[in-house]
Amino acid sequence: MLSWLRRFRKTRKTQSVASLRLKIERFRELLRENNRVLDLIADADEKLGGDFLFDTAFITDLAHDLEDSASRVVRDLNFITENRHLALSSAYDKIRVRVGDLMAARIAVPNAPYILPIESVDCDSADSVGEKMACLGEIGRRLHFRIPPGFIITSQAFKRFSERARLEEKIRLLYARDPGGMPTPSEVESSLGKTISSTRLPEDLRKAIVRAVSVQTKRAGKGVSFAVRSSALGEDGELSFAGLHDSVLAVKPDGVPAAYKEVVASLFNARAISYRRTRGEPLEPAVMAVGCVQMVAATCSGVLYTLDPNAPERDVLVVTATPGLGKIVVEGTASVDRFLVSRVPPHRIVSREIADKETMYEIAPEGGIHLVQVPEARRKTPCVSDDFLAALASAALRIEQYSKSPQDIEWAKDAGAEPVFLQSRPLHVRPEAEHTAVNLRTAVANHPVLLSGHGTVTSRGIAYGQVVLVNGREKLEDIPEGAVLVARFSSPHLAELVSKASAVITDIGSPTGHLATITRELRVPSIMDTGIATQVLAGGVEVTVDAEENTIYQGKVDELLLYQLLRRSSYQDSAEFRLLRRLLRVLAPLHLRNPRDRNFTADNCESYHDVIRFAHEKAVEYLVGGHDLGPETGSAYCRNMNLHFPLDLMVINIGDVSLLPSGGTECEVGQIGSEPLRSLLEGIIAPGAWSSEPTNMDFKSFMSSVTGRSALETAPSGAPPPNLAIFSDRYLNLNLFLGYHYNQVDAYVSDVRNDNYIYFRFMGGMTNIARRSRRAKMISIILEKQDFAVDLLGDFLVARLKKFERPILLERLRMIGCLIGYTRQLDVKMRRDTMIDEGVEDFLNSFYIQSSPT
Amino acid sequence: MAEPLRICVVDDEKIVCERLKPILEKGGFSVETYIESALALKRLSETTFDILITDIKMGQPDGIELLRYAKVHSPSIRVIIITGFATAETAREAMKSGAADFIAKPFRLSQLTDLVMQLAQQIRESASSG
Repeated sequence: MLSWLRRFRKTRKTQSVASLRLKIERFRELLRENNRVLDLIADADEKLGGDFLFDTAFITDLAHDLEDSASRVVRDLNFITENRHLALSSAYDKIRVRVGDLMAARIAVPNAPYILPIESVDCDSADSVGEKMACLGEIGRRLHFRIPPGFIITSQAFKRFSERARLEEKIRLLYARDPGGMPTPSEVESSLGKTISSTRLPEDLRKAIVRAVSVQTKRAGKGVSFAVRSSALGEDGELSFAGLHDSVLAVKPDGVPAAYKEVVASLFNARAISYRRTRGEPLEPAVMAVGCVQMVAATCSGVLYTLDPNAPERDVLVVTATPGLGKIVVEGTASVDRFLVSRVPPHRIVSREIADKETMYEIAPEGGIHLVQVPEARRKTPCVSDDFLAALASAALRIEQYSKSPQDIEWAKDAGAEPVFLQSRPLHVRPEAEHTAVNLRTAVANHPVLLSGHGTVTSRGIAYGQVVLVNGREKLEDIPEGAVLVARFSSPHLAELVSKASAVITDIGSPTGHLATITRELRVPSIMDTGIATQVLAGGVEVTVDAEENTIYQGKVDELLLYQLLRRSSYQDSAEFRLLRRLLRVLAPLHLRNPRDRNFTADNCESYHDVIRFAHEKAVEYLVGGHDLGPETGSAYCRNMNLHFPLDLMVINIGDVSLLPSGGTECEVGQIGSEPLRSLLEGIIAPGAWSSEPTNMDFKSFMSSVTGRSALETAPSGAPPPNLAIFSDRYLNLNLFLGYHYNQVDAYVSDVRNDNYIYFRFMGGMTNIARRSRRAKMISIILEKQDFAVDLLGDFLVARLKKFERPILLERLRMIGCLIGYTRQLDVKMRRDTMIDEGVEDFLNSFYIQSSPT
Repeated sequence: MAEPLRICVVDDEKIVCERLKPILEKGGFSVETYIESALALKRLSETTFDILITDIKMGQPDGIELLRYAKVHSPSIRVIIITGFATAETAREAMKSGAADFIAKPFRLSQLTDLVMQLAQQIRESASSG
């Protein structure tokens, strides 16, 4: 083994510039395809904003293009590294098959655990937990309203159980044996029901359910029982299966596995089968996830419609309420209280009908629920107070605003002051004839236009709210609910504020930036790059944002807001949008972020984003790790830079020979013919950027540098890899190891704005992780202020800037050069969190300005 | 108030019809949509539209045939061709056959509504001058 290693090292040492250039050519292709994948993903994500019209052909082409680019990346990596990462091909193949399944409209069950806690799910988890539970999780996780604690038995668990029960095969046989090839719904229910009840749960699944129940029981104490609820894939989403599948209420802990099977069986009950047939839905791909949430000790419960379905133009919510559990309201079997509540804060009660309520449902001591008499004192009194109704209305309208459609919400009240939400789904309301386009035109004509036609719509929709001017330094609690955020820059810092905003407007920003993506994800209308929003929209002014016509009106245009709510269906619910969203859920997430993580392996690549991330990292690691090109520096394409301070940097020209001076082995910055490399080096050598004085280090930092886990401890042992810049006239790839941390810059700068980009990666340091992370945080803030989109994980940072004009990118490269020098030993000094902001301030307002050429 | 202008949208991709109808209605137009071009052809023979927006690649008849028929039946009709195949040839063929303009999928909705608004302006101007 050792001799093999020695041979290998020797082989690598004798690698010529010619061979390296060949590999670098492939590395450039890898980068091109890498960037193409990122661009395709960003472009597709932009399409989800709703401002584009696309069809299935677009999605098919997208899937094909991504597959093509990712496969090239895999091939390039193996060429560069001499087939050291063949496992990446298998990972790539698995992703390709999943995409194929998705495109063929087969439900692709994600590779999730059998159990997911409800706190961990949101709408992105819909393929694992079903739409109903995904929506409930979203209400808790993103909107921070109360939902019952619990867990979901996922679609992966269903797959496991259905394989044990051989459900697919039995469905095929059932249809094949029927003389007409179409058994009646009752026959299907009876046959598959028997199969399900007679099949034992696979042991691993049963154990997982028992474990999850036990966790809940420990938290909630004795006496807890569960609502075991259906959450079929598609339920409450593309198909409305409302009430077709079963829920089992007040299940004792030991009854949960049996209740799970009961709910799964209801996937094939006669009502659901008939419904599927009328909608032309095949039976085979039906998949059921099951929610298991703690029963709420409800003093009263009910249903809320955010609009009156019979008179949607009235500005009211309809609330029905009953003592105890809400089953009576859902069944409609007894009299209940009915309130009309104003949609306008402070949500006064417009009318109330208090019923004589004789019976109510309660949790039975032996499990299950039973009907009992309502105590005399409660029979004729309102179930809920006006204050509670106002709080309920306010929360429901937030859910409506978030969901972009009127909602039908099940709620409960327990001992707490805030309502608990049990379910929320779209409320179907027929648009009234009088809400025509002509009315809209008349309505908007009465409102002054504050801004129109400036910038780009990045997330389509209509919203109303009060303007709040922000700069990204605000905390979430500073932002009033439903504010229209107006900012100069599309800083990623604003992202965390979006959840409370009704709309986002910026002066500067790109449709493919992080903030735009977040507004699309949260379905918050946004317009970016307006140039002047912060000048014309004053704080406190009430505005209606029409991010369809790219127009902002002064005041509240009720007709536009009602029009938005009453549209028959949101474009986001169309088959094409759902398919594109699902595709991006498979292809876009980045799971492999940290190369130091032991999960950073080819086998763990689950998306094309992972594939390109892994390939990029490994290609760089191979190319910069251990080349000894000393004898080659005399070649026409290779020089050592003379930077006039102690930094060794070798530069390799892969472009025209004229980009380097002829003769000699050394080169001055001014002699470099490559604009991106020259700009970056000008930053590094700017006055004061490179202090060669040693930094004072306290004992703790010193010990940490000796014993602590450095980011680069996984780097090849022995001599540090050489600092290397590979360049052409427009292209630069720089890898710089400065003691204990690593900088990488990859940039392309030309006159074609759309081709231009800078990628900057930074990681490591010589002190402990807290100080290293502070430095990385400081760098991330500086870069964000300079328009970069930044991902930060501890002391590992990736920043991207794309599609800016050439002079701007060259200046940003110079700035990065300055930043590399400025922050070189800064982690040692970062003793407190406050030094992050001080560092940002010092660099941007003092150091960087002084180092700029006059 | 003047009668709203009438627009006929034809595309065998349902999403095109579903998305264009409310957007054009919001712009003040009266809109009919067809995913079957044969039904659209029948409708074009029965009534008059001011603007036809049609996909080019459909079953029988295709967009070019629909365009030619519409121009014969109602010479003043303005036609916008939509296609996923943005080739110069198809554009040229559509324009030669009398299309007012040409737009390739995927496109920004505002591109299409801007185009429709321009045509609507022309139609109103020619009506007032005629």
